[in-house]
Amino acid sequence: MKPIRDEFLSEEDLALGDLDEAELIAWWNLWLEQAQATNDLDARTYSHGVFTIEPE
Amino acid sequence: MNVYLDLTRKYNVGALRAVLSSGQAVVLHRLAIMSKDGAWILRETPAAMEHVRGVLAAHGARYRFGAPLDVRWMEGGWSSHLEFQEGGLRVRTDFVTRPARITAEDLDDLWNEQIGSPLPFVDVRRLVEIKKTNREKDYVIIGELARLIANPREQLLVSRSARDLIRISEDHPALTRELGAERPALIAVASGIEALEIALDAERRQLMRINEQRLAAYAASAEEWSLEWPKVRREIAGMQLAEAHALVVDQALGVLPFSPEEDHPS
Repeated sequence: MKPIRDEFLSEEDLALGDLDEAELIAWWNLWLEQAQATNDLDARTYSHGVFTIEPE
Repeated sequence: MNVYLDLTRKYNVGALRAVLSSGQAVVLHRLAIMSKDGAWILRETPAAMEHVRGVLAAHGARYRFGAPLDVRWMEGGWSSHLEFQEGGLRVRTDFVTRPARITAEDLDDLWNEQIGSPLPFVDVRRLVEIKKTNREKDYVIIGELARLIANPREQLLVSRSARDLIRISEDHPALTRELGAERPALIAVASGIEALEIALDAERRQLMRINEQRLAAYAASAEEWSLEWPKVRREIAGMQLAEAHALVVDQALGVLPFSPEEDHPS
């Protein structure tokens, strides 16, 4: 029986490890393209660094 | 080609200047794709920043609100943020030279370890530290990054899984007790899984609060700059990056302190 373990990420996320480099880049680029749908929602926010919101 | 890999290679043409960090480094560790923005740790030299600005200028990048990409501010721990559009993507490029929670000595080691790397990106251990932010989703990543670590000492110091920690502690009881001084949550291992889960949750909340306080200090120090920024943004609109950079530096001088400590000397 497979032991129970704490799950942090989905099997889909972790499946990146099974991809070769070309497949990884193709999947990564597709993800980035699809993620553009939320650009209006995060137009003023930051993902990194010490700033959190862009002044209007 | 991927835009973040392309930029990393361009930043490092001829010399090591930039190490890909945060979410895009997580992708290279084959864990998850969770961020559409790029982040790099830069060499803290004027030449490195000039080179990177040149790469970004060729992509038509513009400044977002942030610190100028200039050593004087970056050595104060500020971050600098630029953005461009390419191939249907909004590409954000975020930079620090002094990543949070990485000591100066460890940062020196990072640069030494990355020499000769064809694609420099942050290793698992330091990525764990960088991801100790005030965002819940980063602790999910830490949880899985920890499983890439082979060394039991490092696993005990970073794992977010109560089950994993108990399993490792069974193999290394003395080490677990020893590391309790460094990571108090480990003391709860002896009390069982539920107590350890509570301790891990409390630890995460504490780490999040520490980062919130850190960001609050920078926000307070940048208050005057944030009021100036809408005017600066209008002035640099349509400018080439080199010209915009000169203007941003000129406007930030005397308004954005080089470091929060300078703004609020202790």
